[in-house]
This record gives sequence, C-alpha cells and structure tokens, in this order.
Amino acid sequence: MEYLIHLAILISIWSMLAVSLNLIVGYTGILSMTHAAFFGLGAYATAISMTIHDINFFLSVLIGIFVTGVVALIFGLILSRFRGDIYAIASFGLNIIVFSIFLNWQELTRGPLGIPGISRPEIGFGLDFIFKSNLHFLILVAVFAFIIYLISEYVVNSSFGRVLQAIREKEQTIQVFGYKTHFFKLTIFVISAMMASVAGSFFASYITFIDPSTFSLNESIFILAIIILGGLSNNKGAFIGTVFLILLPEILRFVGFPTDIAAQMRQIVYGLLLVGLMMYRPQGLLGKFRL
Amino acid sequence: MDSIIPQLIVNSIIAGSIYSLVALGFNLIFGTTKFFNLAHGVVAAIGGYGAFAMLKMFDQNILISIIFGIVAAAFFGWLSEKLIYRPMRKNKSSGTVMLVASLGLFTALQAVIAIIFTSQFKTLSTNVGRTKVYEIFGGIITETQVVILVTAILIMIGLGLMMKFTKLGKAIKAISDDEEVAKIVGINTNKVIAKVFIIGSAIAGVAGIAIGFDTGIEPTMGMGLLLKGVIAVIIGGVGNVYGGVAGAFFLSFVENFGIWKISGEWKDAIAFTVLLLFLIFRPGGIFNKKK
Amino acid sequence: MTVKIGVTLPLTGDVAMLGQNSKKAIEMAMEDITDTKYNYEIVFEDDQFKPSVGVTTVNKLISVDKVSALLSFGSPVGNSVNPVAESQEVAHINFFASDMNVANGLYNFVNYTPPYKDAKLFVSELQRREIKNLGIFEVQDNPGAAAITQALEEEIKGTDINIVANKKFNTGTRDFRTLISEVKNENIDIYLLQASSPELEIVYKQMREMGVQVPVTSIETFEFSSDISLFEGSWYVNAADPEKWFVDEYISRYSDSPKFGAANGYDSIQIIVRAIEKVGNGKTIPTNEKIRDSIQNTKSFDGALGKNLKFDDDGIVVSDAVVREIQGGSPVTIK
Repeated sequence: MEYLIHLAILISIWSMLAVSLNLIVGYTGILSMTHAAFFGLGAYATAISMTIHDINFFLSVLIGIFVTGVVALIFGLILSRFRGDIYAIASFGLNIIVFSIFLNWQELTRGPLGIPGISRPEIGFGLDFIFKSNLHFLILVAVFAFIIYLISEYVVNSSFGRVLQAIREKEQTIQVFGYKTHFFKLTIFVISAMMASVAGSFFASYITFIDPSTFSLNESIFILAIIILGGLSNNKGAFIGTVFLILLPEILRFVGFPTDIAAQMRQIVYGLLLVGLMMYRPQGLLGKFRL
Repeated sequence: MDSIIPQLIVNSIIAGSIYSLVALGFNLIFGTTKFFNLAHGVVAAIGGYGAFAMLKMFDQNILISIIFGIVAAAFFGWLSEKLIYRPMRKNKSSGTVMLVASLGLFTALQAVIAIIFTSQFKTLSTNVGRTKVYEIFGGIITETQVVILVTAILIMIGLGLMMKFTKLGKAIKAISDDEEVAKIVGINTNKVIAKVFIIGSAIAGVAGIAIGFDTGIEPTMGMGLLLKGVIAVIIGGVGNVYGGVAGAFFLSFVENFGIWKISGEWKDAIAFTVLLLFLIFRPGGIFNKKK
Repeated sequence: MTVKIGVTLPLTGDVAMLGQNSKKAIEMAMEDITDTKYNYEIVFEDDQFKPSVGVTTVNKLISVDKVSALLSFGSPVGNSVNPVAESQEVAHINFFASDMNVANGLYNFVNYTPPYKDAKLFVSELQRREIKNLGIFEVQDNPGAAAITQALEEEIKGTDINIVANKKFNTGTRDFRTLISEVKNENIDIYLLQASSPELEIVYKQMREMGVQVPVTSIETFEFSSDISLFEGSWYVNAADPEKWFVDEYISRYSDSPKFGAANGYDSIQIIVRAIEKVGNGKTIPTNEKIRDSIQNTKSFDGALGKNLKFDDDGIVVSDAVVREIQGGSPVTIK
C-alpha cells in the first residue's frame, strides 16, 4: 500500500539522520542541536542543483555533501571550544542562523515560497531509469540508508570509534595519552553532517518540494528525541527510535483523538517521553551510555 | 537620520527590560542548580496565560489577574523542581540530562497551553488603540511600556537587595559558589533551591505578563523569549545575576541597531551571531568573571 | 453508497486558526447540501502546514480511507501533494494557494485568486488615486505574502509608482518600532501592510502610536483582522468577494467570522460534490478520471465567492480581485 511505502521512505530518511546524530551525541558525547541545518543544506543543494542547473540527482547528492562538509567544518571549528551545555546552546544558535538564511536569502532559496518541482532521481548512461514510483524510490533510499548504517557501524567499531567513546567518557584522560581530541571531534562532526546532507537530498527529491519550515530547531530536537528514545551509542537503537517516533503520530491518527488537538497531544507525548526517559532511563531503550 | 536614534534607544530599553526579567530568573536558577533550565520559557508563558485567564475568562480586575499570573508561574516553576529536577539531582543526573528533560517539559507544557487556550494570539490589554503615549527626547514610549520599565527596575533592585542583605540571598550565593560546602555549613540546599525556583519563575511570569500587555501572548512565545534570555545570560557571564541584566540590554541594543543597519528579518540571526561571537572571544561574558 | 472526500488542513501549528476556520466552513458546506445521490463522508487530517506531513496525510487518505477526491490548504502542502495526486490520479483542489504551480497537471486545481490579479488591481487603484510613493511592511516568512509582493514588483515595473521602503520582518515579531522609526521621515503617501493577525494590528497600532498618520492599505489582509474597526476608512484589495449570505450564515452558526480561505473551502467541497453528483449514478462510485473531468468542466457554479465560477484550462479558478473599503466597521466593495 502506498501509505506504508511512504512511511517506510520517511523512516529510511530519518534513520539516516538518527544514525548520523548518534555518532556525535551517542558515541562522542557531544550534545549537538544543529542537525536540521545539515539536513536542510543537503535538501537545498539538491533542490537548487536539480531545478535551476538541471544537474543529475546523484551528482547533486555529492554537491550537497561537499557544501555541508565545508559548513560543518566551519561550525565544528567554532563549536570545538565549548563544552557541554554551552555547546548545545551555541549549536542551537547555528541552527537558527542557517534557518534564517534559508528563509531570508530569497534570491537563492525563494524563502517561504520554497522550491517546487524537484524531480525524482534519474540514472542516465543509456539506462534512462527514473525512480518515479514510490516503491523504486524506497528501494533506492533504503539502500543508501543501509550504506550509511554500515559506515557508521564501521566507524564506531574501529579504533577511531574507540577514541570517540573514550572522549565521551573522559576527554582529559586520553588527551594525556597524546590524542588530539579536537581533530577526532571535528572529523566525526563533519562525517555526521555529510550523512545528514544525504538524507536531505533524498527528502528533497522524494517530496519534490521543500521549504524552510522542515529545517527548524524543532526538527533538531525531534532527531535528538529519536536517538535518546532508541538508546544512545547504539545504531540499532537509533533505527528503532526512528520507527517508533515516525509511526507514533500515524498510530495516534487512528486512536480517535479529535483531529484538532492530535498534533498537540503528540507534542505532549514527545515532551513527557523525554522527561520520563531522562528521569528513569537516560540511556534509552537499547543504549548503554547515560548522557 | 539622527532623529531615529532616540527611538532606537527607547525601543532597546523596553526590549532590554523584558529580556532582563527572563535572564534574572534564569541566572538565579542556573547559579544554584548548574543546569540550563529550558522550561523557564514556558513558565513565562504560564504567567501571561494565567493573567489572561483571570482577566478575560473570569472577568477579574487587572491587579488580581496579574497576581494570579505570577503565582501560577511561580507554582509551576516550583512544581517542576519538586517533581522533576530534585529527584534528578538526587540521582546525580548531569546538567545535560537535566537540560534535555527541561526541553521535554517545555514541549509538553507548551502543547497543553495550546490545547486549553488555542494557538490564537491573545492580548491582555483592554484599552486597545488608545494607550497614552509619552515622548522622551524624541523617542515615543507608551504608558504600558513605562509601567513595564519601572516594574523591571523595581524587581532588579529588589532582587539585588535581597541577595545582599537577607539570609536567603547569602544562602543562594553560598550554594552558587559551592553546593557541597554550603551543605556542610548547614544550609538546607533543597529548601533554598525551591525558593530560588519560586522567585525565578515568578519573575519570568512577570515578563510573560508584561509582554501580554505590551503586545500579546501565544503558546509558542516561550521559546523565543527563552533563547534571548539565554543569550543575555551568556553575554553577561553565566551565573552572574547582574551580568544577565547587562547582557539583556546589550543584546536588545545590538538587535535594534542591527535591524536599522541590516534588516528586520535577520533579527534572530543577528542575536545568535552576537552570542557566538561572545562565546568565542569572551566566554566569561562582558565582565569576564571566571567561574 | 458512501463517497469519501479527504481534506487535509493545518489544524495545529502556526496557521491553526485558519485551518480550524476552514474546517468549519467545509462542515457548513456539507450541511447545506441536501438531496444527493450519494452519502458523503469527509475525512479531516491535520498537516500542520508542513509539506512532508501533507504528503503523509494525503497518502493515508488515498490508501487507507480510499477517498475519491482531495482538498488541501496552502501552497507548501499544495506543492507537495501535487505529485501524489497526479501519480495516484486523485482529483485535488487546493483552496489557498498563492503559488499557481500547485495547479500543474491534470488532477490538480486551485481555487484561489492568483496573486497577479490582486497586484494588477492594486497598482491600477494606486494610479487612479495618483499615489506614487509606497511604503511596505511585509511579513517575510509567509508564502502568500511573498507571492503577492513578487507579483506587485512585476506590475509596478514601467509605472511611476515608487516603492520607497520595504520593511521586512518575520512572523512572531511584536516590536516594530525600530522598523517604523526607519521610515517615519520618508516621503511615503501610503503604507501597504502585508501581514495577518496579530502582526497586522500590532504594526498598525505602533505606527499610530509613533505618530505616523499616513493612510494604510493592504492586499487581502484587513478583512480578516481580529479588529477590523482599526482600519475604518481604509481602502484595500481583496481576492474574490465572499457573499454576504455566506458570512452571515457562518457567523450565526459559529459565532465567529469566517477567515481567509473559508469561503474558498466552502465552494471547493461543494464543487467536488457537485462534480461527483453529475457523473455518478448513485450506486457505484465514479472513476477518478470521470470525477476529475467533471471538476474541470464545472460551469455556472454559484457559491460563497460569487456566481458562475469555473476553472480555466490550467485548473485555476477564474475569479477576480476587488477593491473594498471599511465603512462603519464592515467591508464594502467600491469597485
């Protein structure tokens, strides 16, 4: 059924966001609240490349990765001098600045009017295949989501990943051992951002229309809620968290809340979930690490 | 163009007084509990809505409505401490965990307000369109704003006197400096912190009511207000109660002059850029007090 | 035989007030229809005015509820629903779109006055009144306002009308005093207030408080102000004219006035029902293609927005903008 395929596509896209944020928050222990900005950069890169410059989707994904990578590098450098709570607030600030740019730099992004008419991915080279049907798109995005999951698993299980977790546990200790922790944190931040950008590119091509509203601070909070629910420093947990929080509103649709208050009820559920989790199970459903 | 400056100054002073009310409460709470309480924003909204309910739904007079609003705000602040933050502190939860919990609380409470009062913007003032205006050195200020300004100043002075001359004030300072030592010396930290939440939240409630009279209230008002308050606090030096006030005015001046020189829609981006600049170049705040 | 029609609206979020208002108008429209061959069930979903949620609700409405037609509100959702409606071949009318791209394709329709019509009329009215210097206060993050301003800038080209200042701000701004200070001393004959409640009333009040006495005007926004008496004596341009009977009926039924888009919603649902009634036999549900053709061929529909409504070849409703003035606290058409 189209509806289920649609939900599966959303889950694939958001799981990329969750898995990538987990790398920073769950494994490295840094509370970043600006992920929606990278999601948005990928989306806008794809949207602008495809609609104005007629660039192939897959190439636009690379453009998005590049642009986001550069921005993340700058952000990472700025944020690297902060610790803990201040890091979170500063990253909020960056999210808001990027959102402001999406909204106000109208010559580039058309501001609130958004960018319509983004096409679905197309493979040239004589194959001439367009991922028009949702089922085909699902297969494509699921493959990419899986690749990102694999990359993430590879990273965390490598020696690089072990350093990250050591940073999370006690940064000063491993600095004593000569590890330049700034470099590690910056690298994972940029990698994570680039993954989020890929999710953004797929989002743009799937919905075929984007506007700034999707990339606000609230979205960053939502992604954070996903990984806290699923369990920090656990990629499977990130996936489960995504499934749960994407399906929750859909299930509530059938519960028969009066439609006028349904969205507010969902907000209440998310909010209370966060509070409850922080109070009683800060490591989430599957996680091992407490914030 | 030089006739605009007095007005900009007046605008900045008014905005600054409201931000400083938020910053004062936030700083008090941060000083003693050492975590960024993001629910502080919704407490301000509760103050505004409490007053609104009394005034427009139960037809009470202005004074009773304002008092009720302040009490409502103080009550919810106290309740959040008792039910959520205190148990978490007992559990040795880190500042980050409590920050996320406060975020959840903020999200949930905001949705509850939206359900009860609807998302519609409402105003507290009754004599709409016919407020008295005064002219000060070429800048225009309304009667309501004069009242707000005077109230803010009185609260600041009152708080200052309390901090310096009362036992409670000294206890608060002791806990801010070092909670463990304060406990050893015999201060009942839980009781003092409870009072801090009551006072801090009451002040936030005043901010919410002030905005309600000046322009109006809506359920989402808390986030924007809170973020500005946080910026003010960071500019002024975290934990430094008067620094927060200075930071609030600094922020409002930069915002208003920034709007003048750049453009209205970039206001938020300007505010956060200022925040980042401070965090990068002067993390101790304007007064650069080492924590 | 029951026919289901899906309606996705922003029932929560920033534009909830408009979404709820339109929901009521649609419900009223269904109550006003009597004696039909089919039973009609309207399924409402909340899209929070967000594109991706719009796609979710519409997918659910089509796959799960098996609706025969769709209504949506606003260009963000309209634009994202457009390809879904097209690929799944379900007729879709968006009744509050400022971006005419929403009508692209066979299955997509827009029931809203295109911004260029508002802009054209506004400019000609300015010329008629010999007003040359225009100041604008514009809400920046609203697609409707952005579309109108774009259209306005197009129409002004080649005339001697001059946009002296365009002060932009985001929704949520409550303090316009600095922006007002900036234009106070400029040579401006009239201010165009492109904002909706509450920014509209606030900017107006603050302008007057600060001693700016120049007349104000708007495109589309005065009529749905929460305090229309503020704009007594001001002229403005509005998209199609909701008929008095509609406004009176809405007010008497809901003790609240209809807002932006309500009349469009009322008409749109009735257009769909009418279209289905025309091609259906009462026993089996007409195919989506037949329904879509029937909607396209709507002729001489008399609705809340006037008589003889129909769609042009692009699927956009043919309707005009009007010039009105607030007299005695109520809108009165003067042209």
